[in-house]
Amino acid sequence: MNHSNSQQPDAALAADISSELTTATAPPDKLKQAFDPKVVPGNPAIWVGIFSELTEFGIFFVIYFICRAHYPQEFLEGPLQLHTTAGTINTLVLITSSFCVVKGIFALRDSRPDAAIRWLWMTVGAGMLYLIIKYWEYQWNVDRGIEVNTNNFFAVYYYTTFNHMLHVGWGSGGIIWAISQIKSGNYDAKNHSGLIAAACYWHMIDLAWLMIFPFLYVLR
Amino acid sequence: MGDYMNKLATLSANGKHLKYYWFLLMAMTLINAAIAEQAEPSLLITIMICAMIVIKARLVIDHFMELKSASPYIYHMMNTYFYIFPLVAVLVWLYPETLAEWTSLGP
Repeated sequence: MNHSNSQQPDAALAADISSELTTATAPPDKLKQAFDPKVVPGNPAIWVGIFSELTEFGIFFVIYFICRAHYPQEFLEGPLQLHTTAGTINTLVLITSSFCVVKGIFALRDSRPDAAIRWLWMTVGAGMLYLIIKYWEYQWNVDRGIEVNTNNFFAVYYYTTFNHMLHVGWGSGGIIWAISQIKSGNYDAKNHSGLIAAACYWHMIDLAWLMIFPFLYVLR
Repeated sequence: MGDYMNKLATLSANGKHLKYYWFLLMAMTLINAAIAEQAEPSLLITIMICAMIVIKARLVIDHFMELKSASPYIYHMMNTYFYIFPLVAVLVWLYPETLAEWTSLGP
Protein backbone atom coordinates (compact mmCIF):
# COMPACT_ATOMS: atom_id res chain seq x y z
CA MET A 1 0.00 0.00 0.00
CA ASN A 2 1.34 3.38 -1.02
CA HIS A 3 0.69 5.70 1.92
CA SER A 4 1.26 8.83 -0.15
CA ASN A 5 -1.88 7.94 -2.12
CA SER A 6 -3.96 7.63 1.04
CA GLN A 7 -3.13 11.26 1.90
CA GLN A 8 -5.00 12.63 -1.10
CA PRO A 9 -7.56 15.28 -0.15
CA ASP A 10 -11.00 14.11 0.80
CA ALA A 11 -12.30 16.38 -1.96
CA ALA A 12 -10.86 13.98 -4.54
CA LEU A 13 -12.66 11.05 -2.94
CA ALA A 14 -15.88 13.07 -2.77
CA ALA A 15 -15.52 13.94 -6.46
CA ASP A 16 -15.00 10.28 -7.29
CA ILE A 17 -18.13 9.23 -5.36
CA SER A 18 -20.05 12.09 -6.96
CA SER A 19 -18.89 10.89 -10.36
CA GLU A 20 -20.11 7.36 -9.56
CA LEU A 21 -23.51 8.67 -8.51
CA THR A 22 -23.73 10.75 -11.66
CA THR A 23 -22.94 7.83 -13.93
CA ALA A 24 -25.35 5.56 -12.03
CA THR A 25 -28.27 7.83 -12.89
CA ALA A 26 -27.04 8.90 -16.31
CA PRO A 27 -28.53 7.63 -19.58
CA PRO A 28 -26.89 4.58 -21.20
CA ASP A 29 -24.56 6.61 -23.44
CA LYS A 30 -23.06 8.21 -20.34
CA LEU A 31 -22.78 4.82 -18.69
CA LYS A 32 -20.61 3.70 -21.58
CA GLN A 33 -18.16 6.42 -20.62
CA ALA A 34 -17.85 4.85 -17.19
CA PHE A 35 -15.76 2.10 -18.77
CA ASP A 36 -12.19 2.43 -17.66
CA PRO A 37 -9.85 1.04 -20.34
CA LYS A 38 -7.11 0.67 -17.74
CA VAL A 39 -9.05 -1.72 -15.53
CA VAL A 40 -7.93 -5.26 -16.25
CA PRO A 41 -9.53 -7.82 -13.91
CA GLY A 42 -6.85 -9.89 -12.21
CA ASN A 43 -3.76 -8.96 -14.21
CA PRO A 44 -2.84 -8.48 -17.90
CA ALA A 45 -0.97 -11.79 -18.05
CA ILE A 46 -4.06 -13.84 -17.24
CA TRP A 47 -5.91 -12.15 -20.12
CA VAL A 48 -3.13 -13.05 -22.53
CA GLY A 49 -3.62 -16.61 -21.29
CA ILE A 50 -7.43 -16.47 -21.49
CA PHE A 51 -7.47 -15.15 -25.06
CA SER A 52 -4.79 -17.67 -26.06
CA GLU A 53 -6.94 -20.47 -24.65
CA LEU A 54 -10.03 -19.11 -26.39
CA THR A 55 -8.06 -19.03 -29.65
CA GLU A 56 -7.15 -22.67 -29.10
CA PHE A 57 -10.79 -23.58 -28.47
CA GLY A 58 -11.71 -21.44 -31.48
CA ILE A 59 -9.47 -23.61 -33.68
CA PHE A 60 -11.27 -26.69 -32.34
CA PHE A 61 -14.61 -25.07 -33.22
CA VAL A 62 -13.41 -24.25 -36.74
CA ILE A 63 -12.32 -27.90 -37.16
CA TYR A 64 -15.76 -28.92 -35.86
CA PHE A 65 -17.49 -26.72 -38.47
CA ILE A 66 -15.33 -27.99 -41.33
CA CYS A 67 -15.75 -31.65 -40.35
CA ARG A 68 -19.48 -31.11 -39.92
CA ALA A 69 -19.70 -29.70 -43.44
CA HIS A 70 -17.72 -32.59 -44.93
CA TYR A 71 -19.30 -35.46 -42.95
CA PRO A 72 -22.92 -34.39 -42.31
CA GLN A 73 -24.20 -37.93 -41.70
CA GLU A 74 -21.62 -38.62 -38.98
CA PHE A 75 -22.49 -35.33 -37.25
CA LEU A 76 -26.21 -36.08 -37.55
CA GLU A 77 -25.91 -39.49 -35.87
CA GLY A 78 -22.97 -38.81 -33.53
CA PRO A 79 -24.73 -36.74 -30.84
CA LEU A 80 -27.41 -39.41 -30.48
CA GLN A 81 -24.74 -41.94 -29.47
CA LEU A 82 -23.27 -39.74 -26.73
CA HIS A 83 -24.40 -39.87 -23.10
CA THR A 84 -26.43 -36.64 -23.09
CA THR A 85 -27.22 -36.92 -19.37
CA ALA A 86 -23.50 -37.02 -18.49
CA GLY A 87 -22.91 -33.93 -20.67
CA THR A 88 -25.89 -32.16 -19.09
CA ILE A 89 -24.80 -32.95 -15.53
CA ASN A 90 -21.30 -31.72 -16.33
CA THR A 91 -22.76 -28.46 -17.68
CA LEU A 92 -24.78 -28.00 -14.49
CA VAL A 93 -21.69 -28.80 -12.43
CA LEU A 94 -19.53 -26.23 -14.27
CA ILE A 95 -22.19 -23.51 -14.06
CA THR A 96 -22.46 -24.20 -10.33
CA SER A 97 -18.68 -24.03 -10.01
CA SER A 98 -18.67 -20.58 -11.66
CA PHE A 99 -21.40 -19.49 -9.24
CA CYS A 100 -19.29 -20.75 -6.31
CA VAL A 101 -16.22 -18.82 -7.51
CA VAL A 102 -18.03 -15.51 -7.71
CA LYS A 103 -19.72 -16.13 -4.34
CA GLY A 104 -16.25 -16.73 -2.90
CA ILE A 105 -15.08 -13.39 -4.28
CA PHE A 106 -18.10 -11.61 -2.81
CA ALA A 107 -17.46 -13.28 0.57
CA LEU A 108 -13.83 -12.15 0.56
CA ARG A 109 -14.81 -8.59 -0.40
CA ASP A 110 -17.17 -8.71 2.57
CA SER A 111 -14.20 -9.63 4.83
CA ARG A 112 -15.42 -13.19 5.35
CA PRO A 113 -12.34 -15.22 4.36
CA ASP A 114 -13.62 -18.47 5.93
CA ALA A 115 -16.79 -18.29 3.84
CA ALA A 116 -14.71 -17.44 0.76
CA ILE A 117 -12.55 -20.50 1.34
CA ARG A 118 -15.65 -22.69 1.68
CA TRP A 119 -17.07 -21.39 -1.62
CA LEU A 120 -13.76 -21.91 -3.37
CA TRP A 121 -13.42 -25.46 -2.06
CA MET A 122 -16.90 -26.10 -3.46
CA THR A 123 -15.57 -24.86 -6.81
CA VAL A 124 -12.69 -27.31 -6.62
CA GLY A 125 -15.12 -30.06 -5.59
CA ALA A 126 -17.26 -29.27 -8.64
CA GLY A 127 -14.15 -29.42 -10.82
CA MET A 128 -13.29 -32.86 -9.42
CA LEU A 129 -16.87 -34.03 -9.93
CA TYR A 130 -16.66 -32.87 -13.55
CA LEU A 131 -13.47 -34.90 -14.06
CA ILE A 132 -15.01 -38.03 -12.49
CA ILE A 133 -18.13 -37.76 -14.68
CA LYS A 134 -16.00 -37.17 -17.79
CA TYR A 135 -13.84 -40.21 -16.98
CA TRP A 136 -16.98 -42.30 -16.46
CA GLU A 137 -18.42 -40.99 -19.76
CA TYR A 138 -15.26 -41.97 -21.66
CA GLN A 139 -15.44 -45.46 -20.13
CA TRP A 140 -19.12 -45.69 -21.10
CA ASN A 141 -18.19 -44.74 -24.67
CA VAL A 142 -15.35 -47.25 -24.88
CA ASP A 143 -17.64 -50.03 -23.58
CA ARG A 144 -19.86 -49.32 -26.59
CA GLY A 145 -16.98 -49.29 -29.06
CA ILE A 146 -16.86 -45.50 -29.38
CA GLU A 147 -13.22 -44.44 -29.64
CA VAL A 148 -11.13 -41.64 -31.18
CA ASN A 149 -10.85 -43.38 -34.54
CA THR A 150 -14.49 -44.54 -34.74
CA ASN A 151 -15.33 -41.69 -37.12
CA ASN A 152 -14.69 -37.97 -37.67
CA PHE A 153 -17.41 -36.85 -35.24
CA PHE A 154 -15.92 -38.84 -32.39
CA ALA A 155 -12.39 -37.69 -33.27
CA VAL A 156 -13.57 -34.07 -32.89
CA TYR A 157 -15.52 -35.01 -29.75
CA TYR A 158 -12.55 -36.69 -28.03
CA TYR A 159 -9.95 -34.06 -28.95
CA THR A 160 -12.18 -31.14 -27.93
CA THR A 161 -13.54 -32.60 -24.69
CA PHE A 162 -10.19 -34.07 -23.59
CA ASN A 163 -8.51 -30.71 -24.17
CA HIS A 164 -11.24 -29.03 -22.15
CA MET A 165 -10.91 -31.65 -19.39
CA LEU A 166 -7.21 -30.78 -19.01
CA HIS A 167 -8.15 -27.13 -18.53
CA VAL A 168 -10.57 -28.07 -15.73
CA GLY A 169 -7.69 -29.94 -14.07
CA TRP A 170 -5.20 -27.09 -14.00
CA GLY A 171 -7.92 -24.48 -13.47
CA SER A 172 -8.72 -26.31 -10.21
CA GLY A 173 -5.03 -26.01 -9.33
CA GLY A 174 -5.31 -22.22 -9.77
CA ILE A 175 -8.30 -22.06 -7.42
CA ILE A 176 -6.46 -24.19 -4.81
CA TRP A 177 -3.53 -21.77 -5.04
CA ALA A 178 -5.93 -18.84 -4.42
CA ILE A 179 -7.32 -20.67 -1.38
CA SER A 180 -3.79 -21.06 -0.01
CA GLN A 181 -3.22 -17.31 -0.44
CA ILE A 182 -6.41 -16.48 1.50
CA LYS A 183 -5.44 -18.94 4.24
CA SER A 184 -1.97 -17.42 4.56
CA GLY A 185 -3.47 -13.92 4.80
CA ASN A 186 -1.97 -12.67 1.53
CA TYR A 187 -5.43 -12.01 0.09
CA ASP A 188 -7.99 -9.93 1.93
CA ALA A 189 -11.04 -7.79 1.16
CA LYS A 190 -8.98 -5.09 -0.60
CA ASN A 191 -6.19 -7.08 -2.16
CA HIS A 192 -7.04 -10.28 -4.03
CA SER A 193 -6.18 -9.66 -7.67
CA GLY A 194 -4.67 -13.17 -7.94
CA LEU A 195 -8.02 -14.67 -6.95
CA ILE A 196 -9.77 -12.52 -9.58
CA ALA A 197 -7.27 -13.80 -12.17
CA ALA A 198 -7.86 -17.45 -11.20
CA ALA A 199 -11.62 -16.84 -11.19
CA CYS A 200 -11.59 -15.26 -14.67
CA TYR A 201 -9.64 -18.25 -15.98
CA TRP A 202 -12.16 -20.58 -14.37
CA HIS A 203 -15.09 -18.71 -15.92
CA MET A 204 -13.36 -18.99 -19.31
CA ILE A 205 -13.29 -22.79 -18.87
CA ASP A 206 -17.00 -22.70 -18.04
CA LEU A 207 -17.74 -20.48 -21.06
CA ALA A 208 -15.85 -22.81 -23.41
CA TRP A 209 -17.95 -25.73 -22.16
CA LEU A 210 -21.16 -23.71 -22.64
CA MET A 211 -20.31 -23.81 -26.36
CA ILE A 212 -18.81 -27.33 -26.52
CA PHE A 213 -21.88 -28.96 -24.93
CA PRO A 214 -24.49 -27.70 -27.43
CA PHE A 215 -22.18 -28.13 -30.43
CA LEU A 216 -21.29 -31.76 -29.68
CA TYR A 217 -24.24 -33.10 -27.68
CA VAL A 218 -27.23 -31.11 -28.92
CA LEU A 219 -26.81 -29.66 -32.44
CA ARG A 220 -27.56 -32.06 -35.29
CA MET B 1 -5.96 -2.17 -8.59
CA GLY B 2 -6.96 -1.04 -5.12
CA ASP B 3 -9.28 1.56 -6.62
CA TYR B 4 -10.81 -1.11 -8.81
CA MET B 5 -11.50 -3.28 -5.78
CA ASN B 6 -13.00 -0.35 -3.91
CA LYS B 7 -15.16 0.58 -6.88
CA LEU B 8 -16.45 -2.97 -7.22
CA ALA B 9 -17.02 -3.23 -3.49
CA THR B 10 -19.00 0.01 -3.54
CA LEU B 11 -21.03 -0.62 -6.68
CA SER B 12 -21.69 -4.35 -6.29
CA ALA B 13 -24.49 -5.67 -4.18
CA ASN B 14 -23.84 -8.37 -1.61
CA GLY B 15 -24.00 -11.08 -4.28
CA LYS B 16 -27.42 -12.42 -3.38
CA HIS B 17 -28.71 -11.55 -6.85
CA LEU B 18 -26.28 -14.09 -8.35
CA LYS B 19 -28.46 -17.05 -7.48
CA TYR B 20 -31.11 -15.88 -9.93
CA TYR B 21 -28.59 -15.90 -12.78
CA TRP B 22 -27.36 -19.31 -11.63
CA PHE B 23 -30.95 -20.61 -11.67
CA LEU B 24 -31.53 -19.17 -15.17
CA LEU B 25 -28.36 -20.80 -16.49
CA MET B 26 -29.35 -24.16 -14.99
CA ALA B 27 -32.86 -23.90 -16.51
CA MET B 28 -31.49 -23.12 -19.99
CA THR B 29 -29.11 -26.09 -19.74
CA LEU B 30 -32.02 -28.41 -18.96
CA ILE B 31 -33.94 -27.01 -21.94
CA ASN B 32 -30.87 -27.73 -24.09
CA ALA B 33 -30.81 -31.31 -22.80
CA ALA B 34 -34.52 -31.76 -23.55
CA ILE B 35 -33.92 -30.52 -27.09
CA ALA B 36 -31.01 -32.94 -27.49
CA GLU B 37 -33.17 -35.87 -26.41
CA GLN B 38 -36.41 -35.09 -28.20
CA ALA B 39 -36.28 -32.45 -30.95
CA GLU B 40 -35.62 -33.28 -34.57
CA PRO B 41 -32.98 -31.16 -36.31
CA SER B 42 -34.36 -27.98 -37.86
CA LEU B 43 -33.31 -24.40 -38.52
CA LEU B 44 -35.53 -23.14 -35.70
CA ILE B 45 -33.99 -25.56 -33.19
CA THR B 46 -30.48 -24.61 -34.36
CA ILE B 47 -31.23 -20.91 -33.93
CA MET B 48 -32.74 -21.56 -30.49
CA ILE B 49 -29.69 -23.51 -29.33
CA CYS B 50 -27.29 -20.88 -30.65
CA ALA B 51 -29.33 -18.06 -29.09
CA MET B 52 -29.13 -19.84 -25.75
CA ILE B 53 -25.33 -20.06 -26.09
CA VAL B 54 -25.22 -16.27 -26.52
CA ILE B 55 -27.59 -15.61 -23.61
CA LYS B 56 -25.73 -17.99 -21.27
CA ALA B 57 -22.36 -16.54 -22.24
CA ARG B 58 -23.62 -12.99 -21.64
CA LEU B 59 -24.95 -13.96 -18.21
CA VAL B 60 -21.58 -15.41 -17.21
CA ILE B 61 -19.55 -12.54 -18.72
CA ASP B 62 -21.74 -9.76 -17.29
CA HIS B 63 -22.62 -11.13 -13.88
CA PHE B 64 -20.14 -13.85 -12.89
CA MET B 65 -16.99 -12.38 -14.48
CA GLU B 66 -18.16 -8.79 -13.80
CA LEU B 67 -16.55 -7.67 -17.05
CA LYS B 68 -19.10 -4.86 -17.39
CA SER B 69 -16.99 -3.02 -14.82
CA ALA B 70 -13.75 -3.77 -16.64
CA SER B 71 -11.92 -2.61 -19.74
CA PRO B 72 -14.31 -2.30 -22.71
CA TYR B 73 -11.70 -3.95 -24.93
CA ILE B 74 -11.80 -7.12 -22.85
CA TYR B 75 -15.58 -6.94 -22.43
CA HIS B 76 -16.32 -6.52 -26.14
CA MET B 77 -13.73 -9.06 -27.27
CA MET B 78 -15.24 -11.67 -24.96
CA ASN B 79 -18.77 -10.85 -26.12
CA THR B 80 -17.78 -10.88 -29.80
CA TYR B 81 -16.27 -14.35 -29.45
CA PHE B 82 -19.54 -15.73 -28.08
CA TYR B 83 -21.60 -14.04 -30.80
CA ILE B 84 -19.44 -15.11 -33.73
CA PHE B 85 -19.20 -18.86 -33.14
CA PRO B 86 -22.96 -19.42 -32.59
CA LEU B 87 -23.62 -17.30 -35.69
CA VAL B 88 -21.16 -19.40 -37.71
CA ALA B 89 -22.90 -22.54 -36.38
CA VAL B 90 -26.20 -21.30 -37.86
CA LEU B 91 -24.50 -20.43 -41.16
CA VAL B 92 -22.84 -23.86 -41.34
CA TRP B 93 -26.21 -25.47 -40.68
CA LEU B 94 -27.72 -23.42 -43.54
CA TYR B 95 -24.87 -23.68 -46.05
CA PRO B 96 -22.80 -26.82 -45.30
CA GLU B 97 -22.05 -27.45 -48.99
CA THR B 98 -20.52 -23.99 -49.39
CA LEU B 99 -18.17 -24.50 -46.45
CA ALA B 100 -17.30 -27.99 -47.69
CA GLU B 101 -16.50 -26.53 -51.10
CA TRP B 102 -14.34 -23.75 -49.61
CA THR B 103 -12.38 -26.22 -47.50
CA SER B 104 -11.87 -28.97 -50.07
CA LEU B 105 -8.27 -29.51 -51.11
CA GLY B 106 -8.99 -31.35 -54.36
CA PRO B 107 -10.44 -29.91 -57.61
